[in-house]
Amino acid sequence: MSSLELVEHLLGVGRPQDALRELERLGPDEAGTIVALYLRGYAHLNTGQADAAVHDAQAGLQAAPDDIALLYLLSVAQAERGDLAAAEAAILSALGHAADDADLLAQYARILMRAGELEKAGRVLATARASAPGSQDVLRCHIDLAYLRGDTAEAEGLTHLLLAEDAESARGHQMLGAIALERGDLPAAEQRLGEAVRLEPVHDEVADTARAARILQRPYYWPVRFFNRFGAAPTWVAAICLIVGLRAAGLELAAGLFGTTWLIVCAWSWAAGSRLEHQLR
Amino acid sequence: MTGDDRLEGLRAAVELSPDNHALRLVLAESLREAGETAAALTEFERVLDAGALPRDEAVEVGTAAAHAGRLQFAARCLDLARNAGVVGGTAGLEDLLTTLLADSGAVQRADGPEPDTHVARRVSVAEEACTFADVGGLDDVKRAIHRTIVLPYQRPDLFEQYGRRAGGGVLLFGPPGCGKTLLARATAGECGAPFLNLRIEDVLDPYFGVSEQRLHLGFDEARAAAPCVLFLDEIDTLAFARRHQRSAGVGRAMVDQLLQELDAIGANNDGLLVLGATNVPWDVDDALQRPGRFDRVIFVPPPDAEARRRILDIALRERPTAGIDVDALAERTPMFSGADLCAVVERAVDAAIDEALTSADEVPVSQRHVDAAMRTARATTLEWLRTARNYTEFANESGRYDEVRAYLDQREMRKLLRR
Repeated sequence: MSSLELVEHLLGVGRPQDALRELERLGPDEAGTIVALYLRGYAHLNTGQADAAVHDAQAGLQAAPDDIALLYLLSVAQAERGDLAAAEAAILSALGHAADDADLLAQYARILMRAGELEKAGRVLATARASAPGSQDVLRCHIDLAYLRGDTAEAEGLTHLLLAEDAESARGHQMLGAIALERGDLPAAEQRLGEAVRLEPVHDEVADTARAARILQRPYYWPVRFFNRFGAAPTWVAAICLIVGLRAAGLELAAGLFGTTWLIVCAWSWAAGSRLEHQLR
Repeated sequence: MTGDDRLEGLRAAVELSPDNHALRLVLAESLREAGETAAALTEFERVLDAGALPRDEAVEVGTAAAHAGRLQFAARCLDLARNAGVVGGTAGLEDLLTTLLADSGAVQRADGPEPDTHVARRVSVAEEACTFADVGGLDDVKRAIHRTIVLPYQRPDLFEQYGRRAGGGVLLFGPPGCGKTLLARATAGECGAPFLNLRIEDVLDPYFGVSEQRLHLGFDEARAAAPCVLFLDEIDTLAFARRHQRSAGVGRAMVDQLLQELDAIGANNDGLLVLGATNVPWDVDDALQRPGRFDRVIFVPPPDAEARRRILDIALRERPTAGIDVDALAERTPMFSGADLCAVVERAVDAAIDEALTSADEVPVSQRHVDAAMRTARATTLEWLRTARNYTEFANESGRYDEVRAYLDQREMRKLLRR
């Protein structure tokens, strides 16, 4: 077995650090091949070294300027670095060689979404879906796009489609958890986010959200739930309007009682929020 | 200049610069040309030890070594050639080695089927014995291993009365660099059983079906050597969770094969202890963790204070030191892995060397250097422990990870894991 096959396997099983160690052992001839550079770039990308990944991809492209896999890698790495213009240039070069490639179109759509060009991303994704109707990558992009547009119903429907194809998609469960959280359905959010953590426990922020969803179900946290559900600013505006309205209607006592209750609820929510933060830590 | 003169000249030059591997290679080639095969092989072996043997020479040198009866050296040359992707001649050398090994009877056992030499080379019996005495600290883990693994080997009569047999599957898991492999070796030493190590590099092959066949042969050889410990280090690379594998490639097939070997339909796994080790139990296929397979899991935590002290002692051994309070340093480094502790020592040594270079005196590594090194030192196990906390909190319905949960729930741990 050649070392490159081992490297490929290590990358496939989520061990990019080990893959990099294997790549370091390659002789100079093998290390300079396009495959080795691609694998090194991929390993760098998966260890959070986007700059190094860009370097690897560019080195490979010097020898093979039209290599679609390297152009794709370069685009992903540039996007990871935050250079969306360079990422777009790389993916457009790749699309120049394979205009209907669904993976390339999905990557282009991701870049457009990050740049806030949702309409254009939608058009690109429509082309991608026509080209590869069964692509899970394209479906995931569609879900993200629907969520970014604020169309949670569509995002939810598409996520159920994704989970029907791949019941153990951590991202799918995470999306449903986020939607449930927005609706204030804490038990569903806890269940979905917990499943996402079980499948991919490395994401601390998802685990913290799942923990928060669990803790917030306790009775003590009802004021926090209340504010989370309706948002702090609208709730405050509604409360002040009600107090002013009651006073205007001559119901001074009711306005006073409501105002006092409101202050207690606010103090309670503040204490509960602090306690929640403490518990999450 | 005659050929002899040239050889003498080369020998003298190599003696003068023993680290000049290119020169040693020229000497080895000249000796081979002169027909002095034994001396040439000795020089080639040194070049190989230094990692300077050109890959295109590996097969030729390996063949000569095999013919000279130096089979281990020949096997190393074969490994080099295969790892370097050399195609021509590797199969021939492998066949030659197989024949010679079979002829020598080195891999045959009187009480078992004749093992396949192809894998016998890869699954090697550990040469040096290692026991729990060689593992500092980790007393709770050693006790757990003793109860669940070693005692059934030492008192099979007692355990048979309770319907328990020696062997089965045990999974060691914990943060990287915390001694899982050493513990596995020590377990084999405590059991008094041979230790067979099967790694992904030994198994993986790009050709369809060959990886599974190699895995099967590895298990077959272990069965022939039973009672023995078959160690699968980094088991997640062999049995990566199928849910993460999008294509039906070699990874899925290997998981299926491993399940088949553990279930042992048509094979006898009596006396075979399969010990797996992994840093990422959450990436190991769920099916492998069901009863009858790796049904016992043992958490190997980061080294405790006693283990850290021993690691530091070893790391500082043979270095000039002055007044380093190792006990205090061990106390100051909770959750540091063995690798983290070695990194602290290396940084302290670097600082002492820098100082020696500027002062032109020998400067021993002192507490001052260690303190400076500690300022930037971090325990790398914390990230793993956070992930483990996430996993055990949301995926511990069966209670398999209660032990690690209890460990993470300790007040001290909670404080350390706070971000």
